[in-house]
Amino acid sequence: MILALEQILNGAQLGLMLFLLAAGLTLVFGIMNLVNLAHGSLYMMGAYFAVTLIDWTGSFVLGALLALPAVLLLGIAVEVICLRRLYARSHLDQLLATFGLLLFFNDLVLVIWGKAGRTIALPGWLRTSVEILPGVPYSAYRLLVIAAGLVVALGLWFTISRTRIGMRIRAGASDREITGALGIDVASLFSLVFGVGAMLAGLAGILNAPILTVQSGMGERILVIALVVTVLGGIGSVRGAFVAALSIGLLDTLARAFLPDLLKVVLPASAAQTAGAAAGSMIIYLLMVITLAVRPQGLFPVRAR
Amino acid sequence: MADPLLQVRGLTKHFGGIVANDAIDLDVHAGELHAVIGANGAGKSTFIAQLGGDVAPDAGTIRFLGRDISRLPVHRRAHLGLARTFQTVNLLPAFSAVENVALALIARDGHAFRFWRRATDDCRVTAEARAVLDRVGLADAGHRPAGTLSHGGQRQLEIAMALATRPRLLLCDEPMAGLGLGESDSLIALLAEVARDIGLLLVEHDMQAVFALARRITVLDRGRVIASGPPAAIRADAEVQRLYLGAEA
Amino acid sequence: MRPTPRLVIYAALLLALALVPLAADLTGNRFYVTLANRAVILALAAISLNLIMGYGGMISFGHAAYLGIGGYSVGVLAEHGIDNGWLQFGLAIGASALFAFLTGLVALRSRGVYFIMISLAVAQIAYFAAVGAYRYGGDDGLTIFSDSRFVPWLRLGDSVTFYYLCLAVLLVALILTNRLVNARFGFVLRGIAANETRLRALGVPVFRHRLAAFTLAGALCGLAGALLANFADFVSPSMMDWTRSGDLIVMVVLGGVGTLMGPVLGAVAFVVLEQELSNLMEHWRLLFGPLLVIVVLAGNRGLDGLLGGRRNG
Ligand SMILES: Nc1ncnc2c1ncn2[C@@H]1O[C@H](COP(=O)(O)OP(=O)(O)OP(=O)(O)O)[C@@H](O)[C@H]1O
Ligand SMILES: [Mg+2]
Repeated sequence: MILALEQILNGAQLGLMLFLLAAGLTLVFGIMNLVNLAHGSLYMMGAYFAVTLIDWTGSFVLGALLALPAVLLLGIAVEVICLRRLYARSHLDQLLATFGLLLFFNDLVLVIWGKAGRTIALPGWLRTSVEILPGVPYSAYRLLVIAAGLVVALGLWFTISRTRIGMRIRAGASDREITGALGIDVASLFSLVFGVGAMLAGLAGILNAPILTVQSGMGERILVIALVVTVLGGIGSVRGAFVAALSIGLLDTLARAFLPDLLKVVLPASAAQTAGAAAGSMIIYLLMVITLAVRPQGLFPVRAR
Repeated sequence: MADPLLQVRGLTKHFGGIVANDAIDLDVHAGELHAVIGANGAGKSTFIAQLGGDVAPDAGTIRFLGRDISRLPVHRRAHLGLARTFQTVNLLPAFSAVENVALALIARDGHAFRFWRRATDDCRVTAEARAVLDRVGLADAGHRPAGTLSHGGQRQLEIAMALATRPRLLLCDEPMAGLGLGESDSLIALLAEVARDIGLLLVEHDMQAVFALARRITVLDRGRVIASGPPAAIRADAEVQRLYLGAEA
Repeated sequence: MRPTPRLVIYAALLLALALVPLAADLTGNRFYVTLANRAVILALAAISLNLIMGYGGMISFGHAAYLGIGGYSVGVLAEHGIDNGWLQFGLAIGASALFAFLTGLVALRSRGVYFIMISLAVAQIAYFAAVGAYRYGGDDGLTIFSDSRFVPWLRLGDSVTFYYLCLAVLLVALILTNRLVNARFGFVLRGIAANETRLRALGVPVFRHRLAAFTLAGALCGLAGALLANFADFVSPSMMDWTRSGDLIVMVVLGGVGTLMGPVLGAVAFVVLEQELSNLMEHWRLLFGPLLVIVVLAGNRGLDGLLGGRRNG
């Protein structure tokens, strides 16, 4: 029971990180019709920026906060230099070019930050644990990550459903022609949306940096899951992305935590560990395939495509 | 009178709040050209799309050659002898005119699971394709990519492809749209000739052509049939005059 | 028929591939054979991808899964002491075809980006199946200690023999592909890619043709995977990593989508660039990545397109 609670929190944390990635993916997908494989690179760059900026400033909080505008600027730069030329292109062209960007960033961080993976040391006050229930400690930092994820998700929901700019973005996601017809400066809107999406991906990277090892290629696995989340939620739907991200995060975490134990009934321990973890990873993809077989437009289709 | 080729009863289709087709009844007999007219958005293309199988009806039945085809997939309907042309030209622009028609001929065979012999080496197919092109007046354009033909040529090619499947019933959605005068004249002659042997359901805005060609005319208004009968009766129908022909004049 | 520059260049490319072992002997640099062999096997996989992506318009973002399934078929049988090549390769081709067929049943009902994502997800399932296969090394992969055995005089352990076998398979695949795409099946497949609704209205059972092409491509890529397993004497889940699928797409587009020789050209270029650039600098992707972006932005039709006007195939 206690273990389950801990795993649920872990799952929620993974889900929220996935949401931070998927939010940008789904907006860029829905509005600009761009499949962006380099989105995971922005996640990675966020983590690396955090490494350096925390190093420079000597403060975890300050460094992490400074890394955000850095990724925002990087995202806008990537959009202006390269990606905006791809909006009208075929999916195949987009895959190829953004795959090229992904390769570029993977080697770029090796050149700048070196081969060895980097870790970020948390300040003392975050290295503690909090008793979430009497006798159930949970990492304070992970709680902070969950809180931050929830706050950002709320903020994003508010921006998109309650503000003027959000209305424009929604208009763009459901009908690209309308955006232009409304006399909105489409190019800047696109840059802004992409930049913010990049920043959210970067934020996920920053928040995950102290938990994981920061290394080249770290964005690849999470990118694929985020793509699954995006498609599952319905392309262009932030709400769908949120629901799908939390479901996938929980499912992935719980399956990988408990399947090995279940398999231990029939398999030797080490085998159960390997097979169970892998089966746990497979489940989310199976879920996606089955869902799309039944609902080809995802859970929350934004419009007929 | 013989059983109709096509017998539509109560065909209904909603798009959200819009009733695109509202309980349409319509028959087409062999050797008959039946025209469907109506203002923009009256539901003509939706009607054709349901007959062809691209759009699933909400209610009603479509019987073709005495058989209920309402739920049959598009390609099965084509095999039964239902061919169509599209309102906006819908060809394979990079393929030559002969190749476009050859694809239709191959499709008639039901499948293309032949993996070795060159498709274009098949004399029967290429010869027949040229013959069909000849019939629609594209004899000299066979080798040209379809996308490079004039608009009129592309319309003719559309009809050639449909004819190549040897249909029993041909559905034409505004085949004359965007044609020059001379071009539509030759197309009218072609359609008249085609309709001698098979059934032809023609959606057309060109009233002159419709009244010259059609044996029967059905008038749609906001998805409903408001009149159906021989041209003379339609011309005389008060409601049609008020709603439609009046606006044209 | 007058030989066009394209024809001459492609004949020269195939001839050059045939002469690689000789050149390696003369220069004493056996490494060339290894390099060329990798290119030839990857070319086979790229041809398979091109069949569905280039001619059939289906962007599969999980094609490396078939390399893995083919490879593991060989590896798993070898692990159990079965080194009969007919059995191994038969399983590789059959299992890949079956996997492709089942994938196609689900994925081919979707279009566009949904199709891309389903093919990716299915490949991830195969990837994690290999990761979880603890009996066969899991994440660490599986070393293959015996080569596939067909007939006594064909020793796949000899690198030159194996190279020529792969090259022969490539040639046969090229000839078959050329026949296929120009035969009725390929003609209709290209037609479907060009205008699906039109073909369906003409009476073509689109789904069935797509599924057949998808299955055929899976089988061919499974064969490439079986060869790859013999080449490396090793299989691991990383063969099926989604970035490997990306590499295959890169090869096809780099060479020329929907052209007969494009995939071969693309695979050779990919392997050579990888080799040359990585000699030049350790972090060669720093150049290769932007190169891909430029290839796309320049909007050309791959290397094949550079050889002048008309498309072949
Ligand atoms: N796929 C669809 N989704 C939603 N509404 C549709 C769809 N197709 C047609 N409609 C609507 O149904 C109505 C009938 O359209 P339809 O295209 O059948 O008219 P039409 O008579 O062919 O018009 P036109 O003469 O302009 O070709 C229109 O109001 C149209 O907007
Ligand atoms: Mg219409």
